[in-house]
Amino acid sequence: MSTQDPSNIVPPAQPAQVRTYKARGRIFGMSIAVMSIWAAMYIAASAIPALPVPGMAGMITVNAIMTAISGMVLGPAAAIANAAGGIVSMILFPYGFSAGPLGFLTVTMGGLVAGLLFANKWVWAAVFELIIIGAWFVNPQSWQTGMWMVPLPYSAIALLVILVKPLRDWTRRSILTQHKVWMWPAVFLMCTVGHAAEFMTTNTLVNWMFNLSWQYWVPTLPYWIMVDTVVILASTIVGVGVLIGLKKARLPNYADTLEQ
Amino acid sequence: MMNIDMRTRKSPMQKLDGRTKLIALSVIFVLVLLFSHPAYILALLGVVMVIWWSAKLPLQTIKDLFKYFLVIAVIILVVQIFFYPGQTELIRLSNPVPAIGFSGFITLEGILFGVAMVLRLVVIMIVAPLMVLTTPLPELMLALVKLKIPYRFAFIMTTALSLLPSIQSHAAIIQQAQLCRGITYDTAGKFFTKLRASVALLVPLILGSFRDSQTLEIAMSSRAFGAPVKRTFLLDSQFSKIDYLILAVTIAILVTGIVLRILGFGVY
Amino acid sequence: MSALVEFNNVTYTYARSTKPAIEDISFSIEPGEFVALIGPSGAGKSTLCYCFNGSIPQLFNGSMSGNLNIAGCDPFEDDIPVLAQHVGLVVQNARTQLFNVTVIQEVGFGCENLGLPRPVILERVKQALDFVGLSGLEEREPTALSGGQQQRLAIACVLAMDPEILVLDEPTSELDPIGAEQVMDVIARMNQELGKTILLVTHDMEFVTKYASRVMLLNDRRLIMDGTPQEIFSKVELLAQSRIRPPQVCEVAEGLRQLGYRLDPLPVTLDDMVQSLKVLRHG
Repeated sequence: MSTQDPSNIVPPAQPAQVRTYKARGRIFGMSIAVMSIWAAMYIAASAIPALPVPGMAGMITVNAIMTAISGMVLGPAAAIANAAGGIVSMILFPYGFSAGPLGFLTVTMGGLVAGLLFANKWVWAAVFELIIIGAWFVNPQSWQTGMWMVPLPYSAIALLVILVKPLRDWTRRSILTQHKVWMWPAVFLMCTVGHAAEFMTTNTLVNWMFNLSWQYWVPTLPYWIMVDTVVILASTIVGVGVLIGLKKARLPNYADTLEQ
Repeated sequence: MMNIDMRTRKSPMQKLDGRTKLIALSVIFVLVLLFSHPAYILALLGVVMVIWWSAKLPLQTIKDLFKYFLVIAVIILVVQIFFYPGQTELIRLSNPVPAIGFSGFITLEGILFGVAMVLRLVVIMIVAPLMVLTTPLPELMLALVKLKIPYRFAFIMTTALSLLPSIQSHAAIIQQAQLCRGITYDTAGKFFTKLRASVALLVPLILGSFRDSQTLEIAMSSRAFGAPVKRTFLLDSQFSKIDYLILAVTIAILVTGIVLRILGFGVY
Repeated sequence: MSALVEFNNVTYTYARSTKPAIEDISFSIEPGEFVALIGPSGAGKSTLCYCFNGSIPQLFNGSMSGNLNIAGCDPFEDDIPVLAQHVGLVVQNARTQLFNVTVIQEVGFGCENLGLPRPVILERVKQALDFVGLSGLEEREPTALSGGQQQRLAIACVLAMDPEILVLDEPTSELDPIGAEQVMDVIARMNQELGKTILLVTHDMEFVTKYASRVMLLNDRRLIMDGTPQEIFSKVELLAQSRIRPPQVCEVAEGLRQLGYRLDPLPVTLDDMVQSLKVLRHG
């Protein structure tokens, strides 16, 4: 029998060769396991109705909050995780998806634009954001009275966060350093980017599919602004909690991959 | 949540290859977006209903689904009836009201177009469930992989679905704990109460589940996930004669549909 | 016979952690051994288990020093799927390592990833399920099984890949006594009937004395003791320092020893104890 008393161990003559390793098998810095678990939570959240929405199919479900914060938690991989979760949940709990089988595109876009921005790939974020806003205006319906106002409230803010360098850098820095005070408005802006990308894609798809005219969109606009504000505020609270918790418990999150 | 146990029933639909079903249902989805004429969409709805019936799925599921979409259906109908620029005047309601773009008439075209859009909604809403209700998950995954969807993506979807019960029980435990502290999830509750409850649920749920992710990753790789070889699938399915027949008919219909659309048919 | 597993001065530190999780670990394991790894929680037992199939260092950010040889593979260099054919790792929580829709899919998953031909997979799945006593449940959902069944299923999943070494991290910690007994029975039979080399992390000292041929004690990131159950469990004080309670038989025997009774070697099972006492009485 060998007893290895710590005090008896002779220090090695030469310092042992220390090799550093980075986790392998990741997509955009995230493991398949994390994406699967995110997708599973996404499906679970799709079953919880949060806000009844007059007109739009059924209701906004808790997964709207998950989409808004996904980019900050998972980075660009959020697009993959959201898409997988979205496809399954729109089949199981279709009342959260007004765009039918294409509904997963909306949550994918939400994760993609915010994730790319958070990863500082802002050019790509801008490209996708512009595609989303552009798709709205390609539809002739969108040239009717007042339809230009629909993308204004949040997609315009999102575009500003993506394009204005000082604002973008400040937002990312405040979230990455988890600044006590500035983290809150920064997370709010990042949630705005994620949520705006999601609902603008939904709006565009619904408009193409069902040909709703300005008589629907313009009068309901104040209501939409209210709903989106509430979703983004709720996402901000959840987002701050989750980001701080993940960092404290050293759990996988995208900010970690940026540091290394 | 819809009852997935129904797929255990044997029907001709279940014997088809997953790929055939995916392609056929996608074609229906494309066609219903391609055409906007009520007659064409009605025909497509007929096809979907025949498939639904042949898969021996209960009509109740469609009724349950439609409940969720009733309000949007009504809105689509109202918006089209009042505001669709039609010519054939049926009922005169008032003088034209240019401020809201209302001509003062209810037109035949408006009604028909409204009906067409509602039918389109119905088709869209029941096409996706049709796939899942007739296809067990491993078969669906196999079909996706055979259609060149990356295996990792299909894996995320199926794994998410099999992790769902454990996530939901995790959520239930959190909710129970919070119930003791006065946070309720009563659906009849006030809007902000509900919102507060969702926020209070999500943070511990996400943190707790992420804790499991490292174990899951180790378990996956311990079973050779991501090995650089061509993966075997225990389950296999081959196209049968019926699959080829259905695929041929589907493609013929799709091509005909596109040609008709280019020639200007089926547009309202 | 050359050693199947060799650890030479292995130290591992997780990224963003100041202290190593395991420090200066050296040992070797011969083929067919049944090694029990014991130690208080937080001692680094799970980290040591993850070293066996390359999960550490490959799935985590961190730094490592020392040399490792697992069945001729180097976990620093060889990919986990390569190592997985030599080492079956069953992690602590059965629920999170089951992620397929049916039992048969679950057990076949590893072999599917290795790209084995379908008939081979089906045969191996059948054998593995037979061995752990879950035949007939092929089409059930893994989540619908009991805790003990889930743990045996998790074992079947790695067993189907036919590794020489099985590393099991506290497989019975969340089970009822009967479920735990069945799982332990499967583990013992893998060693006895299939000749697998076993590394078992457990807090069940009775089981350790019953089946293990060797015990390693890990405390505070270091390997403190390594020897036969008799040797380890007679060091009552060292065990107490590591917050390990030896089997009651050993406690009684050690008490008798201190009273002057000559019990040599130290009985670790009830049968040994009875034998020793008989010898004392008649001898």
